[in-house]
Amino acid sequence: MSDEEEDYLSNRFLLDSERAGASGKTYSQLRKDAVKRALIKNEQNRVKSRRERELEAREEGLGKSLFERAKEADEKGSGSGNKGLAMMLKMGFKPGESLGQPEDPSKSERSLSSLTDHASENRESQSKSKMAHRTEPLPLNEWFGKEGIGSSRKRTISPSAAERVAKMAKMADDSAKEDFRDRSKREYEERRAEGRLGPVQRTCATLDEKAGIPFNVLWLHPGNADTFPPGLVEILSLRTTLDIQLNQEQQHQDDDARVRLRKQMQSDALGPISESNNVETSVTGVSGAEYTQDTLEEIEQFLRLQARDRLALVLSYLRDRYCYCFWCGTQYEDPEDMLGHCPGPDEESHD
Amino acid sequence: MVDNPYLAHLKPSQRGAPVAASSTNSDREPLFGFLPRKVKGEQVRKAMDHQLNPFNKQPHSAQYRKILETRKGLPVFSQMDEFLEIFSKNQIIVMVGETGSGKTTQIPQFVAYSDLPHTKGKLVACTQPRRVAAMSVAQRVADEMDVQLGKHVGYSIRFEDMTEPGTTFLKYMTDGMLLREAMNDTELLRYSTIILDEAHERTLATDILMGLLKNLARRRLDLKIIVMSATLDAVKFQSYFSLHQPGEEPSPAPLFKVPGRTFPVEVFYTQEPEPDYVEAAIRTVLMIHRAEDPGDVLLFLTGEEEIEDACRKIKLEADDLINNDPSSVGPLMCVPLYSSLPPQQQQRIFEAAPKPTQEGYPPGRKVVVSTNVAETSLTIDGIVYVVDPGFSKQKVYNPRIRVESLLVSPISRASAQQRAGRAGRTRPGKCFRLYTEKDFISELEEQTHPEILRSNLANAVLELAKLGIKDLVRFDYLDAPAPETLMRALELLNYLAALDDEGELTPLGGLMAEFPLDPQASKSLAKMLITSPEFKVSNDILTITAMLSVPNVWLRPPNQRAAADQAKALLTVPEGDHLTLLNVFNNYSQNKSDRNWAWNNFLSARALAQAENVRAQLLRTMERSEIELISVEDERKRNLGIQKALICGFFMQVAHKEGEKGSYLTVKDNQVVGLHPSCGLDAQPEWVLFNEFVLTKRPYIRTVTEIRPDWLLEFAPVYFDLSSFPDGETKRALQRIYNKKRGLPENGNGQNPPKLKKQKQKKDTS
Repeated sequence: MSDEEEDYLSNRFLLDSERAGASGKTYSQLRKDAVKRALIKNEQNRVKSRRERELEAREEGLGKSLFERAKEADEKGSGSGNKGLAMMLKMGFKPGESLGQPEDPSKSERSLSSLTDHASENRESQSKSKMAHRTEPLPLNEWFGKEGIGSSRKRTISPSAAERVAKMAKMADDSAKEDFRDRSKREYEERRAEGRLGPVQRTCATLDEKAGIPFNVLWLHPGNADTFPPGLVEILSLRTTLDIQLNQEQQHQDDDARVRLRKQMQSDALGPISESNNVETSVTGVSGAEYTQDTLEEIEQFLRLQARDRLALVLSYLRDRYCYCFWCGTQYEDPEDMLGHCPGPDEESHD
Repeated sequence: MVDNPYLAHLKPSQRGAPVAASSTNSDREPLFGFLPRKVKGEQVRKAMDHQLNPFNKQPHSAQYRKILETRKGLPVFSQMDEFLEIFSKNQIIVMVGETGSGKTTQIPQFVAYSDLPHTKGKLVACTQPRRVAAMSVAQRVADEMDVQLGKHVGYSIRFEDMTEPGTTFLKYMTDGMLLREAMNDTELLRYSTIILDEAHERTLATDILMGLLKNLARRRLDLKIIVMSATLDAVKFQSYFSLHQPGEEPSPAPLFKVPGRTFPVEVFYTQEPEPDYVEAAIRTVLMIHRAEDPGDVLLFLTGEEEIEDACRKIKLEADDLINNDPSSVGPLMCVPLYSSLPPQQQQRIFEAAPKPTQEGYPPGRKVVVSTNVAETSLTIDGIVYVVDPGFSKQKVYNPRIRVESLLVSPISRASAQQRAGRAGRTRPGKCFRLYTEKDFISELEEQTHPEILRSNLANAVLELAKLGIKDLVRFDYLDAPAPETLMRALELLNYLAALDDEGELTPLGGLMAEFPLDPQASKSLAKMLITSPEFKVSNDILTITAMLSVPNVWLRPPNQRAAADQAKALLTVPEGDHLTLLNVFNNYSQNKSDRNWAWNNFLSARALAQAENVRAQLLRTMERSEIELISVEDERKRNLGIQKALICGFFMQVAHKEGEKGSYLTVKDNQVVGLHPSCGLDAQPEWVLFNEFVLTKRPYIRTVTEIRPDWLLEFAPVYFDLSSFPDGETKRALQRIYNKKRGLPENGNGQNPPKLKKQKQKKDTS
């Protein structure tokens, strides 16, 4: 135990609290601050894992060019300077420039413009690459995990529909594998979650409407037809075996792996891009609202989930999108604010 | 055999007189009336249909006639007139022909008919990026021309010269071989026309050759150059090879275009990015299997592990589908393909798709799950569907930390097009891209980075120096590498004493360049070989060098991992992987009589045979360079000698242990690395030397041997000059050793070094 971490009864805290009194902070706020400070300190003192050190060393090594390093070494007066660099300087290299023959831009432009055929379409990229020989080495980009192209950037903002569908599929899968002994506990939690779900979804709808979102899958509650926009129930009943009112019982029949696989494959059947824009099967509801196949698929998946899982999805949506914590009942300024003041994402942490 | 094969062409040719001047009539002389480089398509076709083979004057065989008919169906054949005209008029031509156009086999023949190199004692060269392609295309063209391979048509690849000086006039060769020839014959005088094929692949050697040839074309106006590419972005080549006549505007090199013979491929994209591309790929394959017409599937994934895993999952799911519905789902055969797969298993990709389980049931389907080797280097017939998740593993060298990374990264658009094209070889096909069209346009780069931007340039720089190229900064690169990469290359070669401080090639450097080592293998190997007689271990170092120049010798079949590891343990030498490699080769040589020895010990017989071949070739170079071949009887002495010789080549690739958990710091760059799982060291020595620093899932050093730090100070004093070291644990450790060596107090605590040990070491070195 470090000497710096004091007993919480120590005088310093009492003194601090007096001072804090002046600054208008309550005791519990102070406590929170102290916990936070301790966490930060712990983070700093923790022995870093090898992986972290590998990454840090790599980033440090990659971040500094060899010219910078040579310069630093020169300034320190150590070593005999970099021989490689010295040779390059003798050949006429100037740091910051690229290798290769200096290209006269007007010349290359002219020669390119006289080209026939593809010249025009390729000109832009061509002249760009012609101008810019590299001055820096290619970066080492690590592709984390198995995410497909295009998905990694979206994730940082909010989970895309596709990811949410995947997450839902996983949840459904997990609950299917559940241990028999857990069932009674689950049923209790289910009922509890069912009760919470209504208010949470209403909050979600309110916030969404404020943000100008006309429809969100997460508003839907199978036990409450009012949460469905007019016409949606009919469309759903046309396309699936899922009974909105009785979804609890239906669930397990559909969980048969084979059926699920087939369903997934049908929905994943890729459409040719040329047609995708016009042919994309969209169903028009009575009210005129349109639902794409994807949305319908998502709705179906969502409704098939356990109440508990649905609750978790809506809650995390509120947090990610609006920085809104249902349990605090507060909308925070930004994620940082939320991280600082909200005790945690689940109900237990708010006891 | 002549001493220097590269100069063989200078001997007076037997067939000097031009045929056109000969008095024989056209019945006896098919090439009657041919004027070099002024030949018309009409004449060539007539000569091809002639009774006699114009090159060996033998009557054409029936086989020849049969092949000629199929050749006439190739797209490029119908444009012969156009080609010959462009060829007659221009020095440099850029040619674009998509897959299946027949450019690789036909264009060099057209050139031979027009250029008539055999009448001038010259050759036509056609370069290929891959050895296998050079060999197989040469064989095919020899058949087409009705001559014996190695006579009029031949090939030349590293360690194998299948040509006959004086007779061969059409030579297929690897681009690296032509570069090597240029080192001894900078004007490339033996060639009248040089064809750079597959230029779009932008291998390091092809890129350097382009720079050399562009320059050479100005000096040698009689030399014709054809740059052939399979992709449509020839503009870059055209403007690079534009002719700068004095006082004139530069005009781009003329373009000769041939349509490919491929079928249309319909391309599909996903609507949303995929959260898991492997999962999505498996799903798509199953979807194709269930819903699409018969035709084989090619799925691109990134590496061995991923491929084996996907194969297993596809098989499971497919079996499920078939069991549930045997009347509507056919049997499915799933075949993995990656370069480390044993050859006989690689052959499985050519097996036919399985038969229906029962008469009247749907036919079976073959699914090949491959790395990007199936993208360019290998053609599998019958592929109709391509599934492209958009990733590949790419090698990228970074000079800042001197690492060779092999990381999964998105492919380029050009590469995606290439993949899609694989679906249209036999009939119209479909390509399923597991990303959105928007991401195809916005996320993928236009072109794959050429190899010159992704490689360690030490070997290329040494070769260029040997070629007499002094100014590497202003060399006319098609794509210039990063300055830091050049800086590292010069630095390494200077430390190895191959270049002096002025950047001039030293005699040692010249000798190093002579060694026909794999361009990817480090020049440190050459240095090590040259210095090895000092330690009386040149025989062993020769073996180690050969073993390091061939692909991985260890086999580890997915279902027999444990057995393979056991077999490996038996051959492992605990002091280091280099010694293990030596041990493997020696055991292999001793067990030559046992045909199954390699197989029984989970070793790649092919790689070992290759090592044997490389060793024999290197031995010849050593003999020519008068490097003594020595070995020591005593095993301990031998091992010490080897370790020291290794340091002479690889002193820049040393790591120092830090902490207890088996992690190491690379010297000077201070990268935290681990020993590669394949490493056979039984302990974790404080100082190690490594052959490679690779970044895959983690940063690893591979092929590692224990060394003693005082050897570093002894054999590489310049590199291990403490004043040039960044502060840190490594420097402190070296300082201690330095002090100890000098008899100074080790840690300032006044303790004297153990004298006994030091003397013992001295004995070993002397």
